[in-house]
Amino acid sequence: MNAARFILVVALVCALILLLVDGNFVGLAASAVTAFLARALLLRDFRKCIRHALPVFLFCAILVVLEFIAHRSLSNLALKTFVCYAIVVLSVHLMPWTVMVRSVSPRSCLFAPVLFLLFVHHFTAILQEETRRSLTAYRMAVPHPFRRGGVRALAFSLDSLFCRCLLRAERFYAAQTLRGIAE
Amino acid sequence: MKPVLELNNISFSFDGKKATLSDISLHLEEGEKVGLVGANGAGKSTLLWCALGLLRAHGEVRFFGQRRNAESLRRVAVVFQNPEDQLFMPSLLDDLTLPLLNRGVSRESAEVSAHEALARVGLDSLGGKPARQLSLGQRKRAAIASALVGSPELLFLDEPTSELDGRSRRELASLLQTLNLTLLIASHDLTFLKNIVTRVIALDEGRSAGSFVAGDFFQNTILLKQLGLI
Repeated sequence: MNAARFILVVALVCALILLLVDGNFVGLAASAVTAFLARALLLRDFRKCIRHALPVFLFCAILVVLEFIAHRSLSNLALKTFVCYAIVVLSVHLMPWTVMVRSVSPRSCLFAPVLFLLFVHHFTAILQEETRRSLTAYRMAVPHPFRRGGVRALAFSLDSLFCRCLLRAERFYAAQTLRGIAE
Repeated sequence: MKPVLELNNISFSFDGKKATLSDISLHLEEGEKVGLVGANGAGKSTLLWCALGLLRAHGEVRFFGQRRNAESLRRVAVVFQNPEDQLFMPSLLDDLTLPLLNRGVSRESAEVSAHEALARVGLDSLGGKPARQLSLGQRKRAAIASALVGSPELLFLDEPTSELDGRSRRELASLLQTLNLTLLIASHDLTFLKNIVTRVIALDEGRSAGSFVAGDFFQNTILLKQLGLI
């Protein structure tokens, strides 16, 4: 089962590379929808899946608008971005992390990339947690975000989030260094 | 008694202007359980980071009688304020075995050591779970287990009781009492320290306020007020 999942992840990543190189609109769109729906089925929560995708979707929408303003024509760039997101997120979900970690020996050359992926995975969770805290604090302090001081408070909130994440990253790195792992 | 940690004339500044630590010296001997106390911002954590070489300070740091190096640091373990800084693998068992496997220990003996360390902190049954699924008290104990797994001779703990409830504090205190190794605990939680340490080193705004016998220190309310601890 785990081997099948791993093969599926590798196939997904290869398919993503081929899709990006080929750039076929229909292929990209179909892949984006399929990957998105597959993740929704895995999560069994369509709303959650949409909530997760919303910032990327907004980013892509802004990209389309900027591209149109700049060139008066559209490319597949935004769609490619969304396909990358959908397939990478699905791959991360499918990846058998525990088995992968246990099957790679610390002496093997694969260990460093696996460890790097785990660090990224772990730090994304920390970033998510810190963002949630910051946004909750911001919402409580600024009930009307578009009134006076709302935007300024958001800027400072993001600034504090950035500083806290840097601090957490520094501590995380220090802890791993002392355990002899980060070298 | 063998010297375990010697800090001589440690000075450090984050911005190169205002000194965060000024000329601090301290000595720890084998088997001692010492509290490093001071109000918020006194420089407790900074001193630990300087001792470990994570911050570059002026002065001399010696572990086990020799200058700090990779070999001597292997005999030292640290428990950070935030357990997530230490535990990130898919299961506690993986978190504990990783540094051992990384040092070349076989998987079988790494797993035996990991189980022993988890059993010492009372988490043997939770080895298969990831740290994020545990309560904060359990995560703190898991972080201690991850520090103990390498059989260190000196253990640093940075604010071990922050955000812990009363029961978790008591459990942590009784766990630390049972450890047969040299401890340096940076904390301003006097109630917690009272039950563990035999000696206290006090810091006040980055300067050493002296080394005291624990019993005398905790009764000296004038000094405790001066240091901003009560």
